[in-house]
Amino acid sequence: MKPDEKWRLEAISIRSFRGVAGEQSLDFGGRSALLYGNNGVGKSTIALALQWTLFGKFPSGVLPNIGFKDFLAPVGGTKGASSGEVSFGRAGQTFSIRRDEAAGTFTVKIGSKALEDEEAEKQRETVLGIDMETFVRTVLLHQSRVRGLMLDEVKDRNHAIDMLLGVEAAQDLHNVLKVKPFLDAAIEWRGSAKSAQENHRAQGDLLKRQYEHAVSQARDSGFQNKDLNWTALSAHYEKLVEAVHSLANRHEVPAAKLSAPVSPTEAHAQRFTVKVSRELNQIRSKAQSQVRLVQEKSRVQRMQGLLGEWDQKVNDRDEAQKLVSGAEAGLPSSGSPEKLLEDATTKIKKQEELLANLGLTYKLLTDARAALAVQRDAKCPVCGSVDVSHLDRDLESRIGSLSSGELVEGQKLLGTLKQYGNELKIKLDQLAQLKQGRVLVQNQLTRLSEQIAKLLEVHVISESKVRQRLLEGTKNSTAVCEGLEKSVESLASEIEEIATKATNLEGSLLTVILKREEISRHEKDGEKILHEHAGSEKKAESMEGLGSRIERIRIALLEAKDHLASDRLKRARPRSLELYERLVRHPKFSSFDITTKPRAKKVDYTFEVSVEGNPSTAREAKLVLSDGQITATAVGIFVGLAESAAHGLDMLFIDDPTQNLDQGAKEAMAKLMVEIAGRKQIVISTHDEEFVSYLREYGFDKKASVFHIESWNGNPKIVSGSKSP
Amino acid sequence: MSELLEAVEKLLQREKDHDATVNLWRRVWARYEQGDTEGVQDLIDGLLILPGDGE
Repeated sequence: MKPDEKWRLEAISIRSFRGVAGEQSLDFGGRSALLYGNNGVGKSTIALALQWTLFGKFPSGVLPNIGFKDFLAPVGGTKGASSGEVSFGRAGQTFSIRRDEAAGTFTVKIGSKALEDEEAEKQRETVLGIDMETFVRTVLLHQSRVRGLMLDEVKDRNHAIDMLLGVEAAQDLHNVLKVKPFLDAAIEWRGSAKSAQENHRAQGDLLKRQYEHAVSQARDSGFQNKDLNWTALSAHYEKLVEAVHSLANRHEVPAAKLSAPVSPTEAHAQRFTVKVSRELNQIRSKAQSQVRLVQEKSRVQRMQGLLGEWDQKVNDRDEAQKLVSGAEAGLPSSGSPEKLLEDATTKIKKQEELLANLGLTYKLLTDARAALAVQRDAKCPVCGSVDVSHLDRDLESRIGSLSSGELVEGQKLLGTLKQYGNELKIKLDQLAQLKQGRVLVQNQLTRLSEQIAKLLEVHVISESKVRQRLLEGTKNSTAVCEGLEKSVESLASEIEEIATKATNLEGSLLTVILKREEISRHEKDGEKILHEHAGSEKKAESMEGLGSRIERIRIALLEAKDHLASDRLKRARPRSLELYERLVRHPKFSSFDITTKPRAKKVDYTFEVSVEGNPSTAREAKLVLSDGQITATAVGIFVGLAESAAHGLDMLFIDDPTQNLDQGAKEAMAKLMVEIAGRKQIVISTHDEEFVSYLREYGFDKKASVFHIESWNGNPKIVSGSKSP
Repeated sequence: MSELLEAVEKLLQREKDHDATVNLWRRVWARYEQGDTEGVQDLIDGLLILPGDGE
């Protein structure tokens, strides 16, 4: 491709990106350019914007490509609003590329043709003939890729050479593609299948043992080999149904016929056993022998109770009779007590009347004596004398006789009569009560006798035979009870036998059948497990296959890395050596070489300097060269790589090429830049005033646009931007 | 097209039954281009199936 057929950078326009909070446009017009200014004024933003607009990302391991919105956003600006537009030109043609983060679009335009997204990506690659990795390796030299060469760790320096040669992806991918997890997964799949098989085998052994135990139990329960199947079990169930029904009939218990289980399942069998048990309980409680036994026992108890009660009542009645007789004996023997009481009452009345008359007489006499005392000393008006003394003495004598004799005696007699009358009355009352009690007891005895007659189912029983009849009745009923108890015991025995049979059918015979079915299912499961094992084996093989493919990719990655690195170094070597001499100007080690050093899991490098033509003088570059000399060597390698690469861009973008360089090296670097600017477009960004002076001295500004970024206040402040004619 | 993609593909194609390996390599590369090694790691994690996964 001729130079005029290649593309040069015409302009770049940035919005809301890193160091540009607003909008910044730089017009290169296809010429070389110098961007200079102090650190932190936004120079690197332009290189990053160029990279991001073209490819939408940054080299792996250098800048964040996932979640890098924070990285793109300007200080204090909006996230996700970055956009960039880059235009290239060649022979009157313009190819413009635009990326808009907010709209999520990538657009290219060439002539009147505009394409978007994937088509735009393809078009960019077709027109410029360059992918990101080549762009980074041969167009844009960022200072960060040079700095790694100066690090102390060999691993870091090797990585820096990877980046310089554009093969870091190979090592990164080799590191992330691991085989072991896949081989481990294959082992796990095989292990899980083996474990499932072992579990299945162990379960099979357990089932077999359980089956043998069940068969042994069934034999102990009286079952034979011919019984160990569902047909036989079904027949046994039918017989059991008949046995229960027959038992119910024989004992006069109304019951519907049970249904035998229709299939050999535990649930059916359990339900049936419960039904049989319930039915047997019904027969046990409602069987006629049982009912009659209960009734007869009750009758015995009743008769025994009545006998006790009868004896007690007879005794009570006899006691009452004794009391009546005792009371009657305490009464006077002559005449009836009622007549005696009547006589006493009459006598008391007469004695009271007599006493009343005596009292009246006594009063009359005392009154007469008082009246006589008034007249004792009075004289007769006629005769002048009266003598009543003999009358007074008679009255005195009669009064005295009454008060000390007749009246006292009469009162005493009255008292005696009253006491006698009272005592007699009390005795008669008591006798009446006792007689009433005797009647009551006798009535109770009569009623009891009637109850007993009813119980013994006779019309009437004489008192003298009650006891005997009760004893006979009790004896008879006890004998009936004994007979009924035997019948009930026989029923209980039959019930027990049927219940045991039902339990045995479920617990022994059914268990055998169920275990056999379980073994059958288990065998089917075995087939499934074998099938699953085949699936696991397939998975294991798939994992091994993936592991194997990944291993092949890993080997290929290292081989490709070795091949690409060696090839690129080889192609860049003549120009790199020439630039090493010009830029490093080492007094002793006039030559350097970087060679690949393949190892088992990586490709390392040897980076040595030597006296040209004398390999024995070779020394590790890091130990011999200063940081400035390493920077100069790296720029030389980059230029060598850039010039030996084939793509559609006729430009270089070098960020800060004079880091750690001494004055002489800066001058040599400036001469090289001017020389390159004579052949192709080169954009240099630097903060190095001395270097800028050398560039001016050697006429770089005559061939290039100069952008002096004086300061930064959210946006780069460009104070001069000149385009030389 | 990336030189590394091409170089690895060529190397893989020298082997027998390379189609599946080349296909896997292209998927790995596509993920790498989209999202660096994190994307590749996601792909690998998706390919790795262990007993009990997804049950």
